[in-house]
Amino acid sequence: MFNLKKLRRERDDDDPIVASSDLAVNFKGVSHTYGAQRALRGISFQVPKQTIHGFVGPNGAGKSTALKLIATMIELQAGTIQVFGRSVDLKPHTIRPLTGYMPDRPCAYQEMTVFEYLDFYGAGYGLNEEERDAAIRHLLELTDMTSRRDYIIRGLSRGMQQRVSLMRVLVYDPDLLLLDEPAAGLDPRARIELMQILRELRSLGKSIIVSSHILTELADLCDTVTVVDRGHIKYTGDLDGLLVRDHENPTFGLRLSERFDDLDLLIGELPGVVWVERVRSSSVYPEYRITIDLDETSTNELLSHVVSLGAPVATFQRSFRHLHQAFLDLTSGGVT
Amino acid sequence: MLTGTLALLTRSLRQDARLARTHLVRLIFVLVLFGGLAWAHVTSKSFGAPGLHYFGVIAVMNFGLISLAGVSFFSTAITEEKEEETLGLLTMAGINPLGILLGKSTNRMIRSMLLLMVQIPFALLSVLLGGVTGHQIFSAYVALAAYMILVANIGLLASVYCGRSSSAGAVSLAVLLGLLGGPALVKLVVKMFVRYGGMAVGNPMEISINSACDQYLGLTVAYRLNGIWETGFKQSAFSWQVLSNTALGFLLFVSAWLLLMWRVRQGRFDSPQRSGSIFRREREYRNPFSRVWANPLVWKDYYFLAGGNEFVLVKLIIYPVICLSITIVMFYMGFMYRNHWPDYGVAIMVTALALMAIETAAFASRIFHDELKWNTLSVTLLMPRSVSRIAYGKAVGCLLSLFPSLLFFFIGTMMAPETFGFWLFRPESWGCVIVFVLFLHMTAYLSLIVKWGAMPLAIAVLFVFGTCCIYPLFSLPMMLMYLMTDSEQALIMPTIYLGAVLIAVIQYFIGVRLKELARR
Repeated sequence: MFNLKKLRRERDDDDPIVASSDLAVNFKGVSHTYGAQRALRGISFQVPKQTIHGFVGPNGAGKSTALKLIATMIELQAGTIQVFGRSVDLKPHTIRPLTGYMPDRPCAYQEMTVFEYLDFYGAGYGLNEEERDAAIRHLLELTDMTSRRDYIIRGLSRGMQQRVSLMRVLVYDPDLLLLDEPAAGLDPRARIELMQILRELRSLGKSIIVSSHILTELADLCDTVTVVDRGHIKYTGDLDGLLVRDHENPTFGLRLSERFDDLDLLIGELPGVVWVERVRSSSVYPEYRITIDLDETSTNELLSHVVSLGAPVATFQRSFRHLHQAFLDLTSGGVT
Repeated sequence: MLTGTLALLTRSLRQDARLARTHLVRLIFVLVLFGGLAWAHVTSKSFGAPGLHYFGVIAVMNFGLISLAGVSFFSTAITEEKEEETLGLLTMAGINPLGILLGKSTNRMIRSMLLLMVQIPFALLSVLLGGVTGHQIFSAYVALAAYMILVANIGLLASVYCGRSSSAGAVSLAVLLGLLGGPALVKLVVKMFVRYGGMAVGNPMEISINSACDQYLGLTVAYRLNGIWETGFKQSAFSWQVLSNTALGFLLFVSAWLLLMWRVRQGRFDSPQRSGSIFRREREYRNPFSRVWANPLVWKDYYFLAGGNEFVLVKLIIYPVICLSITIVMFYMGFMYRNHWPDYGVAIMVTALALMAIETAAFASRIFHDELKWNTLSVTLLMPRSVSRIAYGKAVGCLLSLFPSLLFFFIGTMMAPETFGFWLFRPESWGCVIVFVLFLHMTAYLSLIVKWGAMPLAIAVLFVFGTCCIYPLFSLPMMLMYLMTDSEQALIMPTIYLGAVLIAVIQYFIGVRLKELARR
């Protein structure tokens, strides 16, 4: 449907630095202050090429500052940032065509039509008329906006305007998309549709950084995630790593296919079991949550013990911490 | 009840008192007065009654500033709440219409009154310079305070009535022009009627209209200030002008209160949505105006700020009508002879220049302001081109739409080549051009600082600094250069050089400010 490769101006092939870099973004020891307020405190993280990276944190954590630094909107004060191997502070103008920044607020010339708006930014980034026509046509298809090509932006819904902003970012075919809270203010359907578009863009080879203050919003979307709080990095890596903490005892969920009285008492007496509780006691099919100490027992031993007790096991699986809980554990309360 | 009503007023007064900016403005004002004082001291040997001269400048400056505040500062008191869609929230918070008016308008009046009061100790120094008495100074300040009450409440009523700050400012300007210049215009029309036989000389109607106009002129602040400067002034400070202006101001306040109460009861809080152009209908879709040009910024501002081809076409139709009307009026007023083309040419040139000035001033106030309004500055500045290239591109887009006024100016020059040639090589012409370009730059810069009223503020800044700082500082070197070279150009060249330097400085600051705003 949408072949960005056709539209590329062979930028990557022309530039050996960009082509050879495995990382879309390499953030090293970056600090930034606004007057007396420290927005970022020596943060470091990496975003591999062609992945979706979630940048999560509460309000005032420093997410927007980090994205603006990558987009060269604000000047780097301390540390280094490389975008596809190029340093942002040395040649900002060479970074700009590689990155597409979408702010957290709607920002469109309200009196323009969708086509005029995209045509304007395409020309601004040096595309000729033919390239702009092709790009706009494909983008309208990608975002399912073909029928709205000549609509005036002022009259579009918030979700539609967000799509127009996304198209504006994509019109000059950047390799890295920086989306600052793109789902803010969208209804659930528009959010789902936006996430689908982002997945499609990843499959087309784009690297994407999405910021949000809602971790669960990004859980199904992102390959990697960075949690930032008050200018500090609290976690960076894949989502599984965020949900499973090495220093914690693993917890398992056990569900039975029929009633089995006093199973919790029996499990509690098994070696290595630290904690057991029955959850959803009113349910027809009893469920238990069991925490074990891996130094004393293993997952297989626990399951075999339970089976040997004669319990009718329907499901047995590792339970991860809830994303909300992980987020709350990592970040501090209050708005900075 | 009174506590609730005064809540917003006391809050805003406290907030202002805590802001360093408030005190800084007053300090700058005092420094400006010192500038005026220095000028009066330097020229005290050249002029008689330097104290009167000095205080005259201060009074005229205050009169100008109060009038400007009327069309900007006072007329946005309620419209800014409407535009931010917060007026409804204020009423929901239990603040009654009177409380809103006191909090939003009266506090502005008090702040402005404090600016008048801070001058009094320095104004009294003019007594020491000679030529003016303490009573004259006191009377002048009372007259100005009454005028401020009137102007503030004209602005307030316009602000309650109109949906947008721009329309409230326009209404206030029209009313002020009517109040200050109306009688003179009526007398002129009557005079023309008499001259061309529409009315007999000594007709009772002519006499009564002229008498009414004279009576009314006695109530205007300009007439009153003229009276105060007269030698031997001993009238009461609380004249009819003071009483009438204060009473009318109070009546306007009550009217604004009643109107706001009615609007609140009707649930009409917010500004109506505005279309981009009066010539474009509210509609959901349309065909593109044209493909984007090689420089997209030029294209964007030509079509979406200056109105594009359709606006140029409308101006090509309207401008000849305006030029023709002014020529006819000037002909009947006896300023030009029948079939003497150069006179018509000059009228067309001057009209085209005036139209060009109005257009460019409007563009200057909107060129960056609209980018801020739609939050588009950050993404536009991310384009891979320099800030100056972006800003100049936008300016060129606006200037393209000046084609109709330039065309009529050209026609005027063809009809009056000698006059055009004469003024083209006069340094005064270029001095005026430089000062006007400086004003445009100042307006554009201030539109990045204040939400509303950049243009009146630019006029005020240039007026205050021009009359009280720059002119006093430059008058001595100008006079010296004149004496040394015996050339009249010496009087104007420093203005041209200084203007050019200031324009460059403002351009630099515009770039800095644009980058700063884009980062937010």
